[in-house]
Amino acid sequence: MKQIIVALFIALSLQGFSQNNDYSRNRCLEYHKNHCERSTNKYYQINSESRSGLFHKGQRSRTLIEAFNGRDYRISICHDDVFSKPIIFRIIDKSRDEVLYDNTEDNFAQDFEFTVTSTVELWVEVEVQGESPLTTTTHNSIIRRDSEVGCIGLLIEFMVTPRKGF
Amino acid sequence: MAMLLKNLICALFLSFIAGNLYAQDEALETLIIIGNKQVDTSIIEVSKSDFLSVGKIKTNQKGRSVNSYNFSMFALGNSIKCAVNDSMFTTKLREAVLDEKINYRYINIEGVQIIDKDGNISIPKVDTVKVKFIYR
Repeated sequence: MKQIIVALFIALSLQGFSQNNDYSRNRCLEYHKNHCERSTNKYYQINSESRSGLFHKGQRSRTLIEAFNGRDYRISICHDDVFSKPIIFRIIDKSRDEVLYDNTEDNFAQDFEFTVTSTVELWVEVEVQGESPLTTTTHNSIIRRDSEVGCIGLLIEFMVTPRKGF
Repeated sequence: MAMLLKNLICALFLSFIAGNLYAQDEALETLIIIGNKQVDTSIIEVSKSDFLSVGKIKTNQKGRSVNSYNFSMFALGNSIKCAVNDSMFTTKLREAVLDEKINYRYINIEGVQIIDKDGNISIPKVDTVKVKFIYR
């Protein structure tokens, strides 16, 4: 009886472990909602253009957002512990292809808040620091799941910029 | 006589060490004050008017003042970085904080150095802080 209980315990533990490391089962789905820290400002709402995704070291990816005139935005990044170095993110003006913000110049800040004074389309580019496993393995499709990949959440919050006076 | 001298030297040495440790400890306990808030965490939230109301970075200890600091501010398409050899807020800093068009949402105060009345330089317990501006 005791052996059965021990075996059952080990089996359940292994199952739990395999689920934690199973990136094929949408583990990163809604990651930004569950892991990224919300603003302390209660007027901020989550923007539907927030994203989560599975990344490997060295990967760079961008997503397009439309930022509207008269709103404040807060963009924050959260990630799995597998990425030991801070995530780099940039905000780029789509029409002029000009970098408007780069967190490498801002102590690798993992959140950035700004006011928009004219509606603009922005690329939010995320880059994971580290050597890409794709360049170090002979088979390009093989990525060591345990140490090379993890979830990244991009939480975008917005609110109407408070007006002064009446 | 030799024994007495030895004891005296030993006592002097110990008091010197104790004095140094006390001074270091006191310096580490120095906190800077920004917008009437003692800064003991790396992020604080204050309104722009509170931030500017004091007009300088103060400390919580008499005889110690801010000798120098750096600040940086970032907004979409705008940024400022500056080194200040004073405790006072510069005109550039004030103007940037009050700029309604850019509306900077935070300021990074970095590498704050403290000077005491004897001219000794030390660092406060928290020498780098992100000041987030809250709306009133």
